[in-house]
Amino acid sequence: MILLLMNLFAKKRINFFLFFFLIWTSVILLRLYQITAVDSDYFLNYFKGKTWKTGTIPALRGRLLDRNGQLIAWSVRKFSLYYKVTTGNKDSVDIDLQKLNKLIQIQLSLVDDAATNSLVLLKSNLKPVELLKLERFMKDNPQFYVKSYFEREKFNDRRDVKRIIGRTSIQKDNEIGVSGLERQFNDRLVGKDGKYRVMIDKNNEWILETWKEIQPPVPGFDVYLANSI
Amino acid sequence: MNQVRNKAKKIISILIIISSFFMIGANKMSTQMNFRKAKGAEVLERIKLWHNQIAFEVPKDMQLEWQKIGNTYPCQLLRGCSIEHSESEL
Repeated sequence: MILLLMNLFAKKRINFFLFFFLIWTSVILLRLYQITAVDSDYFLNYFKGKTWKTGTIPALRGRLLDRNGQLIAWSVRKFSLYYKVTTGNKDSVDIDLQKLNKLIQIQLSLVDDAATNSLVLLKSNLKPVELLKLERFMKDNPQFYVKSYFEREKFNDRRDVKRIIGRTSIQKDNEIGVSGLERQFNDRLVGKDGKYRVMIDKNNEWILETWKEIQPPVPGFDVYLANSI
Repeated sequence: MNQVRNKAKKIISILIIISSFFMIGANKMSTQMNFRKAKGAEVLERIKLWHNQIAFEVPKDMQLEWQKIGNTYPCQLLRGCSIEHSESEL
């Protein structure tokens, strides 16, 4: 009798396990079917969407100082916001600018007379907070873009002093000395750009773990002058 | 009885094999996740270093603000300074 009961109980247990396995297998098979057949396009696009990008950070130009360590010329990194007029339709330009105006204050009249395909400077010397807000905004609105640039400051605005110090110009996003002391010491003053490589997803976001430094940025050397200006 | 016992043994063996596969998979996944986390943290530290370097290049009245915001969003600010090229453009 006991043996019969045990047998019956064991059979029930086996049936229970078999039933459980059947459900489990069905769930796994259904999921596999969903991934490989139903959502295959989505997954294929997702993986295809990932691409590698490289980035360059232009290096800071070195400073010019006199023999007492007083600054004579130095560079400052600034950011400007530009708008590319892609259409002659004034209404669509107005809509773009009003969207932007909700984030940062700009003069709406700046684009009024701009021709199609021209670049319009909307705001210079952006603050870090504005830069952050724009980073997200620009992903959906590629007609706006921020450009980082260097501005060479001088300790004195006198014309003769400026002539001795010389001028720099931006060539391939780097400051190059084209006259005066800036040109004379250009090799020492010019830095080495930083370079990195990163994978981006289909939303144009960095996949952080894939970020790799290829070359660290090296600012240019400071040059101390033997004579005062 | 022996037949039932044998069936039970078979089922348990299959269960153990399937569980082992799942265990190996889960273990691999968790190792990979930990590796990605560690790698992400390491990368973030390097990005922060770049970011701090740039913080000294901006106008003086913005340096403090740049540094403060950069602790939370170093990647976004770094992207703002960089010129990105896709691989095909190289």
